[in-house]
Amino acid sequence: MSFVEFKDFSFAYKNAQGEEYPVLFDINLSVDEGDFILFCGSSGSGKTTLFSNLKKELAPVGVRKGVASFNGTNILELSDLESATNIGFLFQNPDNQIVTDTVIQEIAFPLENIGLDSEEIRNRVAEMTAFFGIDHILHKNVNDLSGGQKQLVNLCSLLVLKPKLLILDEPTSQLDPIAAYDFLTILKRLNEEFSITILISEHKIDNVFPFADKVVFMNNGEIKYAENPYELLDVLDKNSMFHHYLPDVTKIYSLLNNTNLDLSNYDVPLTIREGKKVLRKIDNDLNNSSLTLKSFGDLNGNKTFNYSLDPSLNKYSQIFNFKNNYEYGEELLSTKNLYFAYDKDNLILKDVDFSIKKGEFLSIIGGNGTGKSTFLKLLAGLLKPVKGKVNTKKDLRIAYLHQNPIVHFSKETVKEELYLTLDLSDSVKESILSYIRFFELENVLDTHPYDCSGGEQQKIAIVKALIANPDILILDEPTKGLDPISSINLAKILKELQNRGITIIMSSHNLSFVANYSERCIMIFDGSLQIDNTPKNIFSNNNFYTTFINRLVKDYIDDGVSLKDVWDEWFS
Amino acid sequence: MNLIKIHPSVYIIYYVIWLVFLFLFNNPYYIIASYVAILALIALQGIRSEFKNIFKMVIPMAILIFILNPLVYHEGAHRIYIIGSYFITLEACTYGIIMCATLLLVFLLFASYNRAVSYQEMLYIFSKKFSNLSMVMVMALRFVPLLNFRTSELRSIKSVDLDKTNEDNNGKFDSFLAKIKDIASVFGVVTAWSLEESMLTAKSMKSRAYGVAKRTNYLSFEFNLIDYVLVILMLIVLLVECIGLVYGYGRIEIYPVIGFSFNQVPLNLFFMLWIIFLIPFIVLELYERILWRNHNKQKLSNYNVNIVNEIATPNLSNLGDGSEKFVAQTEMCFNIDGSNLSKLDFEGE
Amino acid sequence: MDLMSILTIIVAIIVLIGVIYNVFRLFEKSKPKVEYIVLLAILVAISVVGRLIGMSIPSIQLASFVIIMVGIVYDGETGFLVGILTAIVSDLFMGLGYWTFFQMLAWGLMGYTSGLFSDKLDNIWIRVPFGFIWAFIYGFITDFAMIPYMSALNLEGFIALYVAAIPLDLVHGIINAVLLAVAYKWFKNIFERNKVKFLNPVE
Repeated sequence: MSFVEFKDFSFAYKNAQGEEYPVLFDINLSVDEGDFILFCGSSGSGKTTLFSNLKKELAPVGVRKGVASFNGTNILELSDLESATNIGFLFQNPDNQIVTDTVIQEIAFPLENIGLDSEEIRNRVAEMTAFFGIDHILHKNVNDLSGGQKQLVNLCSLLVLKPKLLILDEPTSQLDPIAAYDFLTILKRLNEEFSITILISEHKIDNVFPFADKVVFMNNGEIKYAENPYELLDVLDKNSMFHHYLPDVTKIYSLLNNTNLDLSNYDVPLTIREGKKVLRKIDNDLNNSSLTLKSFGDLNGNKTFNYSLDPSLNKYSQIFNFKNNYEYGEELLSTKNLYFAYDKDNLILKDVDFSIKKGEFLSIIGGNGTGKSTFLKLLAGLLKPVKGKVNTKKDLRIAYLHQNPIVHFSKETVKEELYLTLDLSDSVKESILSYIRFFELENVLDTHPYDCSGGEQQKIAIVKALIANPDILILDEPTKGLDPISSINLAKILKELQNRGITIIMSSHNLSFVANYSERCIMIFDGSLQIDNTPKNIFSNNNFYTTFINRLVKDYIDDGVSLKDVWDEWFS
Repeated sequence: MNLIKIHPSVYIIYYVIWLVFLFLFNNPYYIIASYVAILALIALQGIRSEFKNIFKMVIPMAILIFILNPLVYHEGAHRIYIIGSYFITLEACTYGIIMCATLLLVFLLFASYNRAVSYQEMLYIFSKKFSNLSMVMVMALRFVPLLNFRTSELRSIKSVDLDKTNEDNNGKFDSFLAKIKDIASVFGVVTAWSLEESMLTAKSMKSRAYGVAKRTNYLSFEFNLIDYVLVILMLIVLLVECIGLVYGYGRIEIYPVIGFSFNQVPLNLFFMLWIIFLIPFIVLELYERILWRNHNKQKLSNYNVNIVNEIATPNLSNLGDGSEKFVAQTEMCFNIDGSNLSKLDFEGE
Repeated sequence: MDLMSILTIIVAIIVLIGVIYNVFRLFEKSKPKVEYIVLLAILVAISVVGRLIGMSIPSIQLASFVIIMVGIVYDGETGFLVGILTAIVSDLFMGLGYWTFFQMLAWGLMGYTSGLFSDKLDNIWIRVPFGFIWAFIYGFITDFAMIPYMSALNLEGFIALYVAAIPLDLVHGIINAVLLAVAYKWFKNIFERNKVKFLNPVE
């Protein structure tokens, strides 16, 4: 008997008219107690539906076939108390799960619900806060916590019930990388030290892959692969979609695997440590035949580079053209001696000099709370500097995209949101339609913007911004919470816009995205623009704050910061 | 108070009785006694920031009361003619002044109450009877700052959004309308956004066993001896003062002639009992002050002892406060278990 | 004011508390669903924020508008509860006092009557005067808190207090009227959408 089991499980949603929308097909999966299982797949692949079918309280209304069971009992037949205490469920957005206003109240909340007396409640809360070391925030208001702390409080609030199974639906997608990494480390500890079974879906897989017992890949409501991560490579390599989910280290291994090098003696690497080991061995082997990996020009790849951008991008190039108001290389926006602070004891930006030219693709990186968002808002003119000025060209149009695209929506359908219902001239309408075709939004025109997926919402917001014919597009954390495929789609869009003369400024925590797609990169530190250079230069000089690829190939390729660099160096 | 635990319901009973009697008494001596007590209590409770808000609310109302009373009410023996045959009476003016004083007192009373009983304690009491409603309030209290944050975030963004309308505000009324519309447009988005996201809140509550059993509370307050003593005292005061009111103690005649002079100090049982009623929490607050002060003195003398110890016995485990700090620092210097380094060793996605 | 008048007012307040107590008991007895509790909480929060927004611009508040909309789109009971709770929760931010009872009553009734006449209020010519007049009724009820400070419980006192409060009520009424005219459809759609999602979840 497995701990958690899906047996020939299918599920279909039913709408008000009684029509069925199948979401899950013939799921067969068994999980042993103490397993750590990672679920990968794009949004809409059925992960969330699968998860919510494991929790009675969340089980969606619809038609099910087959059985989902916990400890041998059908999930739907568990008692309320059993289901609530044994199975913990964590959602992705930390803010919306919190129901009370202080940390201690929030952690005590589930214990109050199951009717424990206050003595027992305090015992359990005490235990949990001691284990996580969060005593100092116990009486804080939840609104004063960082996203990572909020998610940790949410996790504590599940753990006080002493669950045997934890289900986590993209728990770190709204967190910055450091908070995400800390959070995952805690999960690993819970799994190793307490043998709590963990089912998690994640996009930031580089850190989760190595300690998963099993990786499950889902697509269109079916489980495609469910294997130990070390055994997955062969299968995934052949799937053009899932290989995007592999850790960067493994991607490089997969490239090397397709050359005339013989890698059959090496284990598939999942961590930088393992990857470096493999590269060292290859280097040694090459040394024996008086070659080195460093000077090796071409490993004779017989495979196409399928991690690059889709070349079929230019299909609508005729229809959509922007008014190009300025010359390439012309300085559009600049600041001089810019100071900003919300209160006078706390300078966020000091003495910032900055300028940007037409056609640039600039990324802004830096730790949390260093003022990236503030800087972008200042550039967009949403905030007024305390001292100094933002100088812009005459009639410069700037569009700003908030990290949560929802804030840009106020209508009931996407069509209205994109002004299609207004009485516009044919030419304007045609240009809006061309955007819609380019962004592949035809199918969601009649949908409520809130019902669209995160990726779609972002696209709609971008289109909304583009309709205003901006010269500069400013995006705050556009990569947050995107799955790898959506990230690549976003990159395609941004690159295409750049080709059409739009200057792009974005902030991001996703260093490999920055390294792959932008040409200029600024690192903000302590209120000033610390480094302003190409991503290649910045990351190849950094040892810690750099891409996984760079950490792996540092010894062999001097300025290899992205997969493309490695490809150019070794395989082309 | 931190060192003396009083059951929140005792506070609530106390302030309610005080409030009711404030409406019933109009003898200036009773009011003055209350003023002295409430100001002392507030000083000890340490309310400062709220004062500005209280006065902002109170002063217009007080002025209104002061003006309206003589304007509307023309009884009284002493007439003061204003224009022609229009007069106001001295009595009505006096009444207005007394009422202004009471009004301010009521506001101060609630300021003090809000400091004495935290809303968590209020909700604790409320949740005994109304567990679902108290949950609604707890959640609303958690959502309000969140929504406020969202509103201010949106307000900053909307200033360049495309939907921006009404640039041409001519008259004052037009700009007033435009302002309302602007606020409403931001507010609507916040409403839609928050309602949408709160679906997940319901799920999160369900998945954490909400409604599985009768709810309990992580807080627990016990009725101690001091609570019983206080409640009994209050009940006695309530009873005696009610009897007193029937016989006219605590109230003065204003109409048609003011039947009061400051020479008539009410040296009677009822007034004494009222003063006794006002005292207990001031005494308790003072007692707490004294405890802290003694403690601080002790700490100073302890510190001297520690220093002597440090010189005499250089054994780390025996040392007091000062040396623990030193040990902690040393540990920090050698703390290379990597928990800080590992944070750096990370990259996006 | 003489002792009897004050006692009358106190008795009136006790009756009011009794009524509210019973409404609360009824709510607890109805064993509300989790979704309904969350919905109430978020609606209350929205309306409280609507009240707080106005703090920077005097006498502009959107709480009444939200409460009327809740009454129209959901039902009278929801409107009543949201109204009552808005008063309590917003006063936890702005200062709790005995005046809270009157605000509870005023907003509670505002929400309840909006639910009562919800089908008629779809007509803009009824809706706008409804919101405008309710602002004055609201003022009338909350001004009761000032009555104990008047010399006597008589008509002149009421009228004088009420006349003094007209400017504030007028602003309140105009805001209600404007919002009910301009933003009615938008908010109705927002609330309708979530009514379906929260109360009849068909996914």
